[in-house]
Amino acid sequence: MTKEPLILIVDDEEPIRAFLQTNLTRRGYACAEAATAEMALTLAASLHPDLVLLDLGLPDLDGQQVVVRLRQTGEVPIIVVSARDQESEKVKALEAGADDYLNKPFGLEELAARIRVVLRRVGVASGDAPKTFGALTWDPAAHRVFVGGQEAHLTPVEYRLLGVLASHPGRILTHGKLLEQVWGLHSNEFVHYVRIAMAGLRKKLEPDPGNPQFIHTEAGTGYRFFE
Amino acid sequence: MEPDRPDPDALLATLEPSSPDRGLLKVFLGYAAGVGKTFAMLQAATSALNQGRDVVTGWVEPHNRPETTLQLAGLEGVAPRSLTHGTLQLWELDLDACLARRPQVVLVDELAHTNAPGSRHEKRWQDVEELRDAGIEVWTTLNIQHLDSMNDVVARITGVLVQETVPDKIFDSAQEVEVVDVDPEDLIDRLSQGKIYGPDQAPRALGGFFKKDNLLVLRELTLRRAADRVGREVDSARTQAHVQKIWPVRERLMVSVGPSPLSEDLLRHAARLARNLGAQLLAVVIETPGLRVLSPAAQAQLAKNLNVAESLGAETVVLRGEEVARDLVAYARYRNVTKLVLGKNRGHLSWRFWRRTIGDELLRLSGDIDVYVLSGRNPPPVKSKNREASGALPWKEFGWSTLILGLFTALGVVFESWGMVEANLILTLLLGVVVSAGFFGWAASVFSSVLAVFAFNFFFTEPKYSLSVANPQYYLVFLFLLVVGAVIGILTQRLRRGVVASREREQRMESLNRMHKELAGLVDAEGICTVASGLVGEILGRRARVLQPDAQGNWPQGEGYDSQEAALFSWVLGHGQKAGRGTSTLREQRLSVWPLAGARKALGVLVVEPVAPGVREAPGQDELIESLTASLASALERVDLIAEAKAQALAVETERTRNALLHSLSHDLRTPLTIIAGSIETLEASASSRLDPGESSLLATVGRETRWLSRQVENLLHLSRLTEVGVPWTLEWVPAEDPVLSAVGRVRSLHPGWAIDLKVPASLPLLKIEPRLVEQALVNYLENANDYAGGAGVLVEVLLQDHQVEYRVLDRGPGVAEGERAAIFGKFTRGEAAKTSPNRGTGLGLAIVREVARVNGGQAGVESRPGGGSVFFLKIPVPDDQP
Repeated sequence: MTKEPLILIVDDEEPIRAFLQTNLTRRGYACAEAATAEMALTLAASLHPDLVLLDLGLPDLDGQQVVVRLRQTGEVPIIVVSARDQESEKVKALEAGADDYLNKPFGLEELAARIRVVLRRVGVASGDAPKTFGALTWDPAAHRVFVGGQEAHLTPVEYRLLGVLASHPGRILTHGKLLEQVWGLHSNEFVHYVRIAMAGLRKKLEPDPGNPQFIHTEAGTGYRFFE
Repeated sequence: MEPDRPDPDALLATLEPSSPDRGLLKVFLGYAAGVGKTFAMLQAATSALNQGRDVVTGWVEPHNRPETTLQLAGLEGVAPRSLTHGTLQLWELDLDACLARRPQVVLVDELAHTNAPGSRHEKRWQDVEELRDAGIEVWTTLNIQHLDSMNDVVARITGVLVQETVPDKIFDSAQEVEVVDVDPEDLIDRLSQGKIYGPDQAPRALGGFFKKDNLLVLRELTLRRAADRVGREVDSARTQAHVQKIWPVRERLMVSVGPSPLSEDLLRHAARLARNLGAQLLAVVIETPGLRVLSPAAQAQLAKNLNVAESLGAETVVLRGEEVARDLVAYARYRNVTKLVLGKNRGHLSWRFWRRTIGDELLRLSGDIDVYVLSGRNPPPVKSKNREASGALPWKEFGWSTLILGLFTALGVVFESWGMVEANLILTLLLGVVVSAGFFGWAASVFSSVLAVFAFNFFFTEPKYSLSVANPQYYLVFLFLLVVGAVIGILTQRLRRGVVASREREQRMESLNRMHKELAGLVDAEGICTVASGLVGEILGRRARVLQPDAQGNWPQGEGYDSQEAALFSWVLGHGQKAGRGTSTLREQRLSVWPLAGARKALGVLVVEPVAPGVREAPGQDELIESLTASLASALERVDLIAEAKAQALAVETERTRNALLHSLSHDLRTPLTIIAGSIETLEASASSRLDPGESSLLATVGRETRWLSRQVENLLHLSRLTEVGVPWTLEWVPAEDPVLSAVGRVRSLHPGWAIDLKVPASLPLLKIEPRLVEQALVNYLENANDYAGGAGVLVEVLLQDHQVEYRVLDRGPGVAEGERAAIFGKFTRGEAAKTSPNRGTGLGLAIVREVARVNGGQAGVESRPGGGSVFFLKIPVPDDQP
């Protein structure tokens, strides 16, 4: 990337926008600010930002709606930053298409780390080429998975699960989304399927299942695959 | 009615297996005492124990047989309950202790045993049922002659009638029957060696019950009955497999039951027949007007017959009717009955004289229904009392009849003096017969007819005032007079009975109506109880009370009931069964107690006190009470529903307000905190180089305090959400390692500098928890370990033991003094170490952990770590029903 990445900061609190802008600019990002949902949608359409930092409590339209609208028009990565800490809000935003979710108050270091992960994911090439994440290699064309050079023998469900995870590195995948994509189920009644399959997958992939490197649990929400 | 109409009952029966939560029943079945049932049971128990099952003995007959005693030694036993009966010291199964102990399997020897007076249930099999209801598996022993349907067969073979019987339906409900078999020769050997009974009893037993012939037959019966059961199991499996394709056509057998002791025998025959045919058994009583005025002894016999029918697994039905045969056939057609069984009526020649027997009538009406007529044994000699009660001559009625007839004779004399013809005089006397029949019934009517004949002869025929007869024509007149009088009497009697029965029915309807009306207007439970107590008492003619326990399960004071009676009420309420006097449970009690069961739960009890001494209980009261309780329960339920709806509306409103408050509070506090923390962090990064050391340290202080404030705000919000009353948490199946992995991950990402060691075993079970809460609890432990224990040597481990997963956070801090360990988990309490620590807290972190443990059914605590430091643990039980 030749130009510095552009981040659109959407928050109705001026002081929050101010310190975020200062901080992010110093970390080498370009920033744009929006105080309302309407303004955010206009700016997103005209500026084509590389990432949107979105607060949910906006004066004119709920942030959840903004996520939906943004997803209708494009694939811009969205990180939700909100004081609402109910799991339901979190899951709703993630399932609507947000890439990550951060509770207020948050540490700036953590925010910076999440931004890096999401931006890197956008750069990851898609296609059938083998993908390597540290010691893990996934070869979609050959339908094989290697850990530290050794082939891991996965069940069909585990393989599909890994496929979904590894296609979205860094992004939280909710239980609902995984159920839908791997099992084709649309009911959260079966969340334990995901948990059980995930425990099996971890045992086969993680060199030390007690210290997982690849698959991180977001309690009550879902899982995140790390490079 | 179409012959192949699908029968919904039978279909339901195949679709509804016994409730999955009920304890299983395993029966060790033998053909005689001494075959080794108890020994076989104990042996099986020992091997189950070795396989890791939790087996205890609830009751084992003290046999003093060495092998048995040896087996018993290895098993845990629940101590029996001691009862004093007169001067006798009796020992019984301690039901409550077994229920409290809650083993997986409990051994209860001798299923047929009758409990000592003062026990909760009359029979041991009722104890066993209660244990099974509580989900405990029961193993028991039984001899074939104690099985209800086998009882009389065995008695006929051996000449020994046992009193203690077990209903067939209990035996048939067993999931497993193990026949304990031994060669009869061996059994006789053992008996003669005195291994079964003492040496003094053995010879007597050998000559009687234990004759080889007897034993051979008993053995065959036992094996056949057990094989029967296996056959039926296969049938039912077959039916279930095909249930989608075909309607299960099951035979249905109906038996007509009356107030005769013979009916009992008939029922046993019918039950055997039904079992052999694989048919369902219906026992039907047609309650004719005649049956409603039976002697108390006959009433009791009828009730007993119905009990026998129920214990044989029959469905019992009481129908109101006028004509037995017609009503039986009509009901049989309605229920798709294929076979009808009745007893041969012996005696009762008078009935035949007047009309066809019920059997004849049935044969005429039955059409395609098969009719079986079984001969009964001669009635046993229990008849004496019965006969006395019904056979006594009604002298009082005869006196009155004589008086009435005297009056009408006098009237006849006056008429004659006015010159009336003989025909009119005969009619005058007949009028007298009708009057006494109307008032005093059948016997008085016949008696009056005879009197009328004599009066006519004496006063009005030539020669007058003498019993001799001049004209033989008069003999014919006498005969007509007698017959007409008797017929009138019988007809009047039937009419009268009909009137009595319908009046009773009317009264019952009227009572119920009144109750509905009076209770309809009431909207509070207390009012209903008071009004209903009075009403029911009035209707039944004895003191009755409608009682409801309060929220804590206490019964209202001031009604004059003692604590034992209150316990009876609680039992009835909890089990939804009537108990006390006149029932089969706790019948030594003075009171009869009926449950008032609503559609969703038991709402209270109806307590009926005994009638005043000397007053006879009106017949049919149980039925009346039954309908009263139904109506009472619905009234109470209505009130209950209203109250519940109100409480629910209030709870919803409270919850809404609270949520709104929490929501705005969390937003209002978090937003400024975010701004302050973010701004300071930005400043720290950019401005520190331009500040002098004093100013830098001030900035650092502001930053630290802000982070502290953020954490406390989060803790407060967490705690207030956790301690909310009545908010159900949805627990989910989660692999036990999940929360600990996410907690450690979160802490590591928040505080990259902290060193945390993690030890998680490879295979852990699933837990039923709220994963975010458990994660939060572990995060709190970890933050404490860093704040108060310096963060060095922090180890997180997960252990699996005693059906529990234990999350442990170990530190190398100063430790927690023993006296403080419980206290630090309270709200706003902090340990000594924390007070002196430079890190300020509010004492909410551990309170949150405690609440999390509560919500997830677990336990939180702290113990000291060998080598210095503390171990904070959170134990969560592992559910048995892993998906």
